[in-house]
Amino acid sequence: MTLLLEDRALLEGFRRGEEAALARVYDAYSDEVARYLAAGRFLGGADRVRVSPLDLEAAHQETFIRAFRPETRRSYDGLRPFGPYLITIARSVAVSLLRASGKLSREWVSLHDTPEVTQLASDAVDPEEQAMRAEVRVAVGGFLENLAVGDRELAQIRFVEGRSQEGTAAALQLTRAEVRTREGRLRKALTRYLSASGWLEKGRPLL
Amino acid sequence: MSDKAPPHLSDETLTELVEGTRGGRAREKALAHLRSCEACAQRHQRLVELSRLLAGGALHEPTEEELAAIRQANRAAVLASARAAPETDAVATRASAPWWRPLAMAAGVLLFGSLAVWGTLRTPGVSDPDPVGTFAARGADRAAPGGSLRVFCMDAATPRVLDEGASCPAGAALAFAVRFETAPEVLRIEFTGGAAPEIHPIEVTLVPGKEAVLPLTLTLEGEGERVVTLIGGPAPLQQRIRVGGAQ
Repeated sequence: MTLLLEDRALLEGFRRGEEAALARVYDAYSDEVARYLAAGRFLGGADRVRVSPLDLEAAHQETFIRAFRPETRRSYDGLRPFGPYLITIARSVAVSLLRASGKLSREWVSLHDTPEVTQLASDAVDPEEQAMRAEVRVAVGGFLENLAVGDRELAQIRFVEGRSQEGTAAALQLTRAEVRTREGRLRKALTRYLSASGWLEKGRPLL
Repeated sequence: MSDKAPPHLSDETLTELVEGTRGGRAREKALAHLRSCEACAQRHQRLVELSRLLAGGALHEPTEEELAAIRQANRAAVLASARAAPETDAVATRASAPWWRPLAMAAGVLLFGSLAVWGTLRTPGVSDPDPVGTFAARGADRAAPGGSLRVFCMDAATPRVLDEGASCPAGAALAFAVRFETAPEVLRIEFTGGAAPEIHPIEVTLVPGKEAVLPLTLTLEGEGERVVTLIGGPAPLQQRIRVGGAQ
């Protein structure tokens, strides 16, 4: 994304701290920052140290608060893409958060500074995710067995096949609003089912 | 049982949090509970991860609903923070000014004060501080493996280099000079010990082996010990200072 590089008026407004400019930048980069923080690739390479879902929102907010401080805005040169600049801040925020929670040692040195290690990176699906997918398949399978036919169809298409709400609506000849309503009800039922079965409590230690 | 602990969040509340359909004060209240209740936080985490997988994404990839909820929840706070920032103008002015301006101003004040004292009192045996010696780049004589950090106390009366554990009064500003054998492109100063930790990423163009002043000054508030950590070199460089006291 090259928002601030292509629109010099926006860049000037951003540097001056004009609210409309800050809001545009926030909207443009909010999702990218949240995805980066959730992915947990702060160490470089394949290793991950994750910001918990609960802390994700706080880290996201802190990133933008720091990015929008006057000295930080003015430090941005407007010559390079803003995204990586913002991600540098997000990384600092995440590392501080992880250090404060004891999940990262204070002596931590980024693997970004040790390229020979970074080259060992792998994007393969991690074993933790594979295990969780297997667990979810079993859990949702058990849930489906107890559903009425109509709900089972919807849950199968939406939760097991992973189709979008639009795709599900088309497949079941429903409106998207109907799918959304029924899905909301199903999700709550699924949560109750998982809660009753003890699945929710079987989690790993908190991130 | 006389269990006074607040009741755990219901399944319905957790589901609404994950879906982003619980908003406002009810949401804040639920999040506050999650921060203090490990059992509920664990259930919440499981549900978030389940939701991500059911949405067809990866375990650590927020769903569109999550992204929208985060975007919406933080938008007002971020913009309000940018709007408020009481010290904004002063900090902005300092940050946009040439890096040498605060040092030059401080050196000027010091030089003026020194001349005044020297001219009026001419006290034998009292040696005035040497402003050139204090503020000239000098990383080479304080070499540390890979790099060095010097912290300056920028109070108007006696600008000076702060040694480990030295004091600098509240209201004064800190300035920083660094030197690296291998110059990084991005540094950050972490300033901890105050009300909230501060992190300042700084893009720099450094000449290897040559000391340079960073384009950052921090105004001190409160009192007590603070820790300045410079990250970006081969190893973090750290210095403790005290806020308050005369010198």
